[in-house]
Amino acid sequence: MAFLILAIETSCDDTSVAILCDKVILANVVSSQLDHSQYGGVVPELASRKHLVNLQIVLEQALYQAQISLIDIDAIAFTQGPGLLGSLLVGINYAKGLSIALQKPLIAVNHMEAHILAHWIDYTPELPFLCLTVSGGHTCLTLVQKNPLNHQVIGRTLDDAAGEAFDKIAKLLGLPYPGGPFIDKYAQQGQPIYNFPKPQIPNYDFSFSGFKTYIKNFVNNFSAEQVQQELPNLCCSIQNAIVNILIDKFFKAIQDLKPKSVGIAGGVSANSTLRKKVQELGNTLQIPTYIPKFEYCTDNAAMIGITGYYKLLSQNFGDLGTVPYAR
Amino acid sequence: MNSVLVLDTSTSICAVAIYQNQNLLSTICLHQPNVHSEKAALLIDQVLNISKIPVQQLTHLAIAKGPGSYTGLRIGFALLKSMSYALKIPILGFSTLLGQAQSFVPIAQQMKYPILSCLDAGRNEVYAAFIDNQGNLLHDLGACVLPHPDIKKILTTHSTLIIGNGANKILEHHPSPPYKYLLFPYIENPIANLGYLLEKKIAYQEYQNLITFEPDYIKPVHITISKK
Repeated sequence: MAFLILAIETSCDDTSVAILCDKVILANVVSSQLDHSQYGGVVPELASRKHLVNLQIVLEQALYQAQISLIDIDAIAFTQGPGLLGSLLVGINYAKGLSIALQKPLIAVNHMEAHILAHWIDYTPELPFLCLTVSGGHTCLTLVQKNPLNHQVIGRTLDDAAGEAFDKIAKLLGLPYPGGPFIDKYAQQGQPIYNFPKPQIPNYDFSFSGFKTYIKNFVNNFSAEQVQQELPNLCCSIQNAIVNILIDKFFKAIQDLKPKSVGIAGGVSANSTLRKKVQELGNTLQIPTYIPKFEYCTDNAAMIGITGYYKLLSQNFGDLGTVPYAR
Repeated sequence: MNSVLVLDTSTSICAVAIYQNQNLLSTICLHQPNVHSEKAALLIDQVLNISKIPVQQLTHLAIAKGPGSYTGLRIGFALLKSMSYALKIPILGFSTLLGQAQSFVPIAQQMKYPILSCLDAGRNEVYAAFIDNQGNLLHDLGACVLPHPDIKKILTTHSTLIIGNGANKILEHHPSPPYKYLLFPYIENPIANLGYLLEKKIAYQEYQNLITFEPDYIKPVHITISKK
């Protein structure tokens, strides 16, 4: 018998609802809040107010696209954390209300695990699987062993996330928020002519705050016009440097741990240089390399749904007392 | 027969109740700050259980729509909006200030005093509403920085019942009013006497649009733009 799973994701500024029939995505609706760009970052209070209005619309749209009636849903999966507490609270309590009304079980999902599980939507990577997760809030290396839900974080960022470094550096360069895609865009037209020092961090951990400060001081040597003029080369050099920091650790971990397959996940995996270099790395080491579709890289409810599906199979349910966590 | 589930998560009190027609069937009230996220859904489940009412038999939902704690309000709204959608039953909103005042209507009638209902809004502010001795809203004062001219006018022209957790603060900023007053800063259960209010709202079908229904935040989001 197939299971119908409703999934809700409201961890940051995107409101998303997905409907899955087992592993098949019947709908994956994402509504982005564009209002934040004018403030140079996500405003938490604004984000949670918007979720409360958008969630209802997004749910109705998802049900319409999937041609499913709410009453047929077998379980409700939701993001428990990490994320913005105010945003998470809206999604969690909306899910709880549905659970009470429909008398169906809840499944609490960790947002970071879900980014990794996004690979299981279209593929079934061979285990152990080593995943580099890079987003605006997180940077970590995770080893998935034994089964898709068995995660071991082997390295994480000690300060800023890689995506955060992209956004903050973009701000220094006078680019709009979110800056990552803009850096990627300008980088296409430039050459990596500048060399920046690499952070020397032991094990598989990352650090970007020192790098960010270095760039800040470096850019201060330029006049505003020079920055404008050199923008493509600066963006290309910065992008290369950040990606190399990530790839170096990824390479080290692959060599040490010898996984059977590897992949990348999270919003920054939309970055063209990162995608290219991970694919190259996989080819060089002759290891199956998975890069999820773009729509499953950024925040979305389909990945919450697929994680929910595996948790449902292992009877791992949440309850009405479930509370969110920020980190 | 109407069966109404009522929820108030707008203050540090988390309260749920079930009314059948005008009568309170059962209620649970938790005086504990910062637990709404964990407890609100559990309390709804519990009140349904002790009332022995299957959730499908509910005919209406009602919620305290603020003013109050933003976080608390969002928890309540998210819960009841999804219940309303899944059960296909209408949702009603009532002012937190008007709701908590209903318990004091019998005294107000007896004394012939109007009610000044208020909530502490942090620093030297309160949310306040002026309500007649029958429990009807006369004047919504919104967010008041104390001392406040409207509150001063009320206290210098009427004997009043001052109720709610901002009552002491009002008297600190408006000391020794010339008329008599009765002070009730402590509310036992803000949704225990809503029969009349709910019946009126149901009779007038004051149902809310599920998409646009939002808490009464009173204030817009305050955003300062970084100068860096």
